[in-house]
Amino acid sequence: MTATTPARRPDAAPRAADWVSCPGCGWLLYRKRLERNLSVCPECDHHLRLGARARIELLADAGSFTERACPPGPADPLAFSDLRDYPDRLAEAAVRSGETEAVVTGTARIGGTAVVLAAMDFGFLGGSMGVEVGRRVSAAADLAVEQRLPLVTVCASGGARMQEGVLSLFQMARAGQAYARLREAGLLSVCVLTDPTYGGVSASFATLATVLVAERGAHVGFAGPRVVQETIRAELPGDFQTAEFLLAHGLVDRVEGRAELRPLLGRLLRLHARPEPDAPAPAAAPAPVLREADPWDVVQRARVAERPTTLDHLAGFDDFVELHGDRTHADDAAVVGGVASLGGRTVVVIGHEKGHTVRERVTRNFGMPHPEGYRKAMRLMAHAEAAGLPVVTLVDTPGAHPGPEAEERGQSHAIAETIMRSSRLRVPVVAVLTGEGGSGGALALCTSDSLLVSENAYLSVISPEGCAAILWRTASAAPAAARAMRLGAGHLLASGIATAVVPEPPGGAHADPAEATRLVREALAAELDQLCRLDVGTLLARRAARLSRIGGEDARPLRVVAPGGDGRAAR
Amino acid sequence: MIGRLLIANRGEIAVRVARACRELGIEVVAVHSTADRRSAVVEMADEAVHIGPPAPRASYLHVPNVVEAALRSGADAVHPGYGFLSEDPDFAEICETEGLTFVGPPPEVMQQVGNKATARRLMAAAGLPLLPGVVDPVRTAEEGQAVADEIGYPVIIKAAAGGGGRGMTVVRDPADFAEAFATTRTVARAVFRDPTVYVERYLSGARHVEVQVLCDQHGAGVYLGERDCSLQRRHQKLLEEGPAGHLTPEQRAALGEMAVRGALSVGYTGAGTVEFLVDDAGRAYFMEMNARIQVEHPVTELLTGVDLVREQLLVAGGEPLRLRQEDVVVRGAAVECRINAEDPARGFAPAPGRLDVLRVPDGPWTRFDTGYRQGDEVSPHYDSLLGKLVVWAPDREQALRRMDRALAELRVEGPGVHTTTALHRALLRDPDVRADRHDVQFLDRRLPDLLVRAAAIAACPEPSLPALRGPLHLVPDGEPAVPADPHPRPEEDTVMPFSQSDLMQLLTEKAGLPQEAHSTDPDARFADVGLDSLAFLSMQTELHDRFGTTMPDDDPEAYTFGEIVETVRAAASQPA
Repeated sequence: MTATTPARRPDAAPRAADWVSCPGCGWLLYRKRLERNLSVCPECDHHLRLGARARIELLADAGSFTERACPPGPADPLAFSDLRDYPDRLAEAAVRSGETEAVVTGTARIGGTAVVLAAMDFGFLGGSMGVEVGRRVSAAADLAVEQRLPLVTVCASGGARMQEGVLSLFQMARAGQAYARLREAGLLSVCVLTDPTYGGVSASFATLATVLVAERGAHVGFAGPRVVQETIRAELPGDFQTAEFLLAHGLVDRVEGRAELRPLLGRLLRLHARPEPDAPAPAAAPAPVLREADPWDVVQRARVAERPTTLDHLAGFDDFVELHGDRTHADDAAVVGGVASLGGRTVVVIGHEKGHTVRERVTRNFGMPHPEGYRKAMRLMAHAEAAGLPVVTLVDTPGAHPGPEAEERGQSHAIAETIMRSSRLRVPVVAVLTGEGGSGGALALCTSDSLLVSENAYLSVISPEGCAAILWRTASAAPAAARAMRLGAGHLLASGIATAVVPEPPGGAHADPAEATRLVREALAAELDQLCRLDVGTLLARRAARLSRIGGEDARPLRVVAPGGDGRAAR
Repeated sequence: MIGRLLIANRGEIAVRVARACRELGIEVVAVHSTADRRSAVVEMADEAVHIGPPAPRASYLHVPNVVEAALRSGADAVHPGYGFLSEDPDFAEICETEGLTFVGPPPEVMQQVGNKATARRLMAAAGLPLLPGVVDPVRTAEEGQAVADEIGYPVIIKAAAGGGGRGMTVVRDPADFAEAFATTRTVARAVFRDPTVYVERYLSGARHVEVQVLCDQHGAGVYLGERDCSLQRRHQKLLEEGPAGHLTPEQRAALGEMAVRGALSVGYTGAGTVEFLVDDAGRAYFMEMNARIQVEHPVTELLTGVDLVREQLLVAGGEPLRLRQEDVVVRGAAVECRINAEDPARGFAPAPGRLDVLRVPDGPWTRFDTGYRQGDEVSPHYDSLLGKLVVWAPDREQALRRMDRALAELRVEGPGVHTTTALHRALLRDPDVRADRHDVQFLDRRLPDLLVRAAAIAACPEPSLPALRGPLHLVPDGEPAVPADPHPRPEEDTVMPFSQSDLMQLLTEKAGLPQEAHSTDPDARFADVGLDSLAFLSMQTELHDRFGTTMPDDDPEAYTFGEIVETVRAAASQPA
């Protein structure tokens, strides 16, 4: 017997709203699942656009957002009309987006830290910036200065608003000026660049924050791809102006998926909120009696592939948020840097990175920086100075990259500027020579208040092989050259270049990387504890004196050389 | 009552559901991908709907297509089978909104049960004991130490990416924790490229025991005995059996009652499984609940005579359970072997292809559930389960022998097709499996030996298990004999001392040392046979798992082979 019930299709109207077609791949998605997945397509990872309220809900701690708005001003300064009147368009945008303007501002908490939060809404006239958007964004920055809070801005905009003409254009200057005051006040600002951020917004406050985080897949640029294509008739790469493109070109600090945005902001804000440790760091273990090591052994140990690198050292820090790029040209993988926490103290860390495996070493260019690596270091130093955070550098490089591209982009200048910047930085700078210290490429990160040197590290004007090839006429004389140049911690300490030696586990740092990195952290924490007590004036004076003393000639000012006078001078 | 049911699945479970429907007089709608257009269930069904290309995400996993197929074909219910959409609460909810009866628990319940953390919380509230430990990764040694202090020693530190017994360290003494933590992370980073670790209470000799439950929509529920699924490789079950003979009848009943209590407390309906980890003292800890019919359900069907899929359909149709707990009687012993189209010798890589020969075993109390017929193609797009061989016998010993007989009858041939059949026969010959004293790590630990035996069996088929107690053996009447000691220990004195050739064999299995490179020189070192430090680490892991010892230093240069052999012997001679 077959019991058949007649086919029944529910009479309810088709619930089209239950399903969404992904704009990225066209896949039919169950709306509830899409929303649970933060409106990120589970099939193709396309990040669907979010309105301002959804952004606030995504980022702010539940119930912590308090909106702030300026009293409304004159809405249509030009009495603009195209196919329709501008006030009409405004009214329609307000209905469609549920907002009064293209940005929503207020105060909130993110991961427990109080912030000023501004979120743009692309649904309101394409997130375009007119007078009111300029006013609100600037007011948000002013509020942050006034209350000494960090500012988090979520950007989504097509650019300046045409309907308000040149008044829109000048909102770029207004917002730029407000963000400058924020920076002067030493406050953290973070911009989350979402899809799309263009024109007058990307060329003003959207890229002026201390930290720029692009959401995965977002398109960000000045001129849109269609404008670029039609103007210069060029074929554009497939990833043109995507978040990943920006990261590769050093223009943003990080690219994050939607789910990672909130945890990342929480960490960044925490790192910048309470930069001081509760208790003084325990004094580092007394420096061991330095074992007289053969310079050639030191050179070889410093080069062991398993020796802990900057990222290995950072893995033992309490937290580390890597910041990428030089904001100009590229992200140099041979130099890593960011904001880290060590023993409760927030520091800016910059270091050479070599990697361990062959693949890593090739990616990291064997720890040999290009000019963009030094420019990344400089901009991180600028952030440290603005935020009042001490700088830690970890030095381990065979040298700056020798190559035509590096020369084209000004390798010498980049190194020189980095040295100069760090010599007068108004925050403590501690350098640790952890491995190879190859010439100027190393020195760029060695200009500091204290230079700690690991037991098996060396600083050298030229590689022992290079020296041997020139002076001995054979590279195989490298061991002899190493000895002649007195490479190693002993000479560095004796000559006053290094201020202390960091012990390594028996057999070298690679024999017990965990212990080696612990010893470095311990030495750093103790050193920072001492330096952070000094005021800026003392700090700079000490640093100047220290650099002048190197070479042992501290009190011999320039004098006019009388012709034929003191015979010594003429000889 | 269900009149026309769409089966949102493929393979053997689709056939299984279709059979139950036929017997209940329910019309069957099959769905199929392009690859399955001539499958067995399509042939059996009243109507078949093509729902997309072979890739599951575009067919069997693509909800809009499945739901549309149900609505267009006039189905009033959907059976999700196992895998695919079976545990997707959204799918259950969509079915409900579209007016289709979903054969399974309500979406809210499925959601709660499917979330490991929520399920643990709810089951703890219902009074089920949980395995102490954390669900989140542990980042620092201090954090881990705190967790370990809370859950109590011994604990096990497990690499998240680990498996096969590697990347795990058992810590018995708090003083050793920090070092063990650092070592496990280092090994995890070196071997799996992911240092993430978890900390859990360590159970020695743990068994995987799961209770089959059945609940109706009116608040009634029964348990239908349990299955022991301890023979698993990296959490993939290979051989399942019932009942859990290593537990006393009282322990088994207590487990069943706990499972029903847990299921009813969350409003569970339909057939489901509550999984426990049981330690060597018989203490059970709730692990998770599976809100679906399971692959190994026939074990329970043979033990209890209850048609689980039929019950599922009746309960989904709203009928009250007619079965009361006292009606459920577990008789004899049942064993299931999963016959997968995989090549165990190549790391269980799928070995699909055309089945030129498929000769299915037969005979008394022998059942073979499959969705394939001779001449069918096993598609690489789907799981490699070729069929399930299930047997029943009055006691475990007879069931194992019957299984071996049936496995010998099974013939699967085709270009490129390999199966797990010989491995099962090797398993059935293992003394630990025969004595029912294996644990959940058994297969991961012993796989290399078993593979060698399986290869031998495949090359030279043994007709059947050798007789244990003379050529003739009478079936004991009534109750199966209970062994005097339910947990016999392995006989220690039969173990041969560890030798250098054992070490060489171990290095061949674990580090790929070629046979011709084997060294008999006790003064030779790793470098002399061309092995590196990674090989040394692999050996360390293996020594730890097999003999509970490791060389104190992770440096291959530090030891000669002779020294390693001595260390292992010394450790083996000490009582564990």
